Amino acid sequence: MILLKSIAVAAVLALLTPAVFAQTGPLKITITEGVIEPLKLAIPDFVPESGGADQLARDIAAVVTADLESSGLFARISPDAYISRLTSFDAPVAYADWKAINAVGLITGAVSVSGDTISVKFRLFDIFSGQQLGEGLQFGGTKSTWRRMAHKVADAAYSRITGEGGYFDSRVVFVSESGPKNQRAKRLALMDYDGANVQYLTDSSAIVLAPRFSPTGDRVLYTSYESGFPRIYLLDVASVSRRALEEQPGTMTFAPRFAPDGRTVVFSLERGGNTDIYTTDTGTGALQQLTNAPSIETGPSYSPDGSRIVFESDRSGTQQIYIMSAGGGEPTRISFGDGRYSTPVWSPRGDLIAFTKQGAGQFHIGVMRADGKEERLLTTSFLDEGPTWAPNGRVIMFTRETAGAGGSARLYSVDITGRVLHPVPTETAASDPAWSPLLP
Amino acid sequence: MNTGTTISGIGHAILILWLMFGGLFSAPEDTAVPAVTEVSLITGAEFAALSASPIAPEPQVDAPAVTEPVDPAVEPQPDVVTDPAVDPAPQVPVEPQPAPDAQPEAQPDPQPAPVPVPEPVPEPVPEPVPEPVPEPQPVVEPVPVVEPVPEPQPVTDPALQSSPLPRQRPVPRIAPEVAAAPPPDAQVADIVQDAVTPDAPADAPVVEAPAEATAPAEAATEIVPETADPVPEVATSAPVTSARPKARPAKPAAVAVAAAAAATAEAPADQPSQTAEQTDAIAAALAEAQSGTTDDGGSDAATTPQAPSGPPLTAGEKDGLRVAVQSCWNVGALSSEAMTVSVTIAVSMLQDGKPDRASIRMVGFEGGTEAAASKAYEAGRRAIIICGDKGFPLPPEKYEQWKNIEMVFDPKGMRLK
Repeated sequence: MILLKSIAVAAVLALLTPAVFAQTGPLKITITEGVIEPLKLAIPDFVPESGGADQLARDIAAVVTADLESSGLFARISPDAYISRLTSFDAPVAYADWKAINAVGLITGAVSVSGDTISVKFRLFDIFSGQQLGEGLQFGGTKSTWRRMAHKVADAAYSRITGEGGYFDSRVVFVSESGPKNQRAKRLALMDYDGANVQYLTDSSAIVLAPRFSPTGDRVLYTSYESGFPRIYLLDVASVSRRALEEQPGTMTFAPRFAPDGRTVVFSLERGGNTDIYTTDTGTGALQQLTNAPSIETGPSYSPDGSRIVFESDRSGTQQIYIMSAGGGEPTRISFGDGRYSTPVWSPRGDLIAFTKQGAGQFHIGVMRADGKEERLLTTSFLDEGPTWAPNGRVIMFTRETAGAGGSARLYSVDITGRVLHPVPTETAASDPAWSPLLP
Repeated sequence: MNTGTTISGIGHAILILWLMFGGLFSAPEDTAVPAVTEVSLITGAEFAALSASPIAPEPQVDAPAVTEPVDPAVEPQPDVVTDPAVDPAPQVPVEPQPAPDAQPEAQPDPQPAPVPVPEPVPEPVPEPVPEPVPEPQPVVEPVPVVEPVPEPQPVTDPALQSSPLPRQRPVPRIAPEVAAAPPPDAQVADIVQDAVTPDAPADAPVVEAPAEATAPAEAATEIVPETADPVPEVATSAPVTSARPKARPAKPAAVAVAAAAAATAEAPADQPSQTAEQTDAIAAALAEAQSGTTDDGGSDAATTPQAPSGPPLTAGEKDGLRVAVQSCWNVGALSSEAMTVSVTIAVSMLQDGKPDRASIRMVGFEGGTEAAASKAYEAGRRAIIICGDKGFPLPPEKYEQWKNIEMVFDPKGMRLK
């Protein structure tokens, strides 16, 4: 009886209690979990608006699609599923048709050819809001630059959807390798970010290493052994002319990188068996020593604002990453994990530092915050090294070398989530990539 | 699990355990033990003598009814409520009863008049008829101001026996005499006057200016502190401010008529008879309560804005909505900065569970720039539209609860560290 009474009272109270917690306004819920998958885009072939533009229209749409899909953020819906057929660039968009195939966005474009010049127009539509996303854009150029125009269309679409800058209209300088592993010929080469339009900058008479773009993308620093010792050279991309940057007898210079001002170069200089970090002015040649330690300091990289330099040093006994002021001074160690850290590179956004990590017989490409926290390893393989950042700071390109006598080096790219990893197609084996800024 | 649910769960658990093992209701059971009576031992000779006696002697031991203890908690009830002058019922020991819910079990005393006994348990159907227990008319009807303590009515309904009738309502003013509550639409003033309205057909342009009715502020002769017992704040028999369950369909006109009829029919013969105007007022008040409107044309929502009525959504129902939305919340294309933004999106829902697209709007964000918040908002908006296209799994009967929703999209937990 007591139990029944107790249950009855409890039941009554249970019915009354919700009133205490009754909501007094709109229902509120908090969503903290979502899904991470590519956004589905509809990218019909661009509309040819003049004779002879048919193939170009298809090719441009294909490049735009490849760019967006390579980012891992977008997936193109198969054209076979399209209900609407785009016959005119100015035709009204049948949102219901695109929504029916679950397209989130629609990219329409048109190509016209006039002699050797082409014109590319595009528009981006948000299907679920039923409106155009941003203004339409039009690019003009010669036929030979059609890929760049496609990259620009992809950059615009990428930027409008994600809210951050694109990276498709950019180039990569790298070391092209050929021949057997023990006698490999290395040349400096330039290509589009996607491996197209390869252009060689040096011959294979001397070993070249570690090319680095200037902040404006018009010059390249690299290390060459043509004198028998490693030495830094500065190459003008347009004229393919070069000059030695720092010539001091009895020294070796290597690992150069531009400061954000485009005039100062930071590099490593070996003198008398000791390696320290120096800067030089490309205009005046003024030299400044930033570190003075018996250990090896190398691989310097400026922060985007030019105020700090991250570099690697074995002053603690193993290779670790340190940060110091751009004018030198006492460095601060930021890497404390197991293994050895090398080749640190500051992100263009300044939030992360990419690095190579070696440990337990494996190499990794990883990122950490500038204070050394939140370290994440993005890749693992027999040999991954030499990260370089895309202009938007979301993608990293690096070298992956396979094991064995027949192994070779290839370029790979990975986004900072580590989810999107794929090789970069190159004609030959390739290593030491360096990403340019976005082209003007 | 939110804090409210956690607190509620812990509180319920403690309460149930206390009720089950705290001995709250053990007292009545313990009091039943003394049913044992004393027995004296006698010898065989004495028994034989007793058996042989033609006249049975007086028993040495009183009957159990005499020795049975009466529950002190129950004993005062008849003394307090029952009028011995009216109620000729003998003081029969009342069975121990757990006061309120034992009302139907109380034996009906011989009643002087066939008073219609209300239903022991109110029907779940909205019964506009005066509710049985909380409407002891003699108590809550303060109209006879002169009588500080109303005469107890010759109704021995157990429900009335437990009602704290002779208690003055707390009023905010002290006066030498008890003043009646002013009409609900009257302004408080020292002078009593009736409402004056302009006489439309008068020849003179304007004879009297409109004036609102005034009456002295309600007062009592003493300060009556508020007690734990719930005392009705509104001293009227009509449930003017009583909120009826809105979810139940009602026919205001029919209900009003039924209420008036019921009120008239159930009025005891010796009670102060209600006039037709009073009946109409009660019916009107009931009708207003049913329709959720008040005299001033406002509504309940106006007095308690943004307070939806009816039972709230359960945690499971909220989780169902949350899961449905997050299955479409794709943050794969959000920028790193947008992944640090928590954006709040408001949406009005249609009764079929689909969102009203035109109502989707961002009401705020935390962290990041406005541009990043804009992208985060677009991702959340897409989630609402895409997954809401077929309607969210929401209970239709609780539409008032989810008619307006604010969703906070917080991707910080998904941000890579």
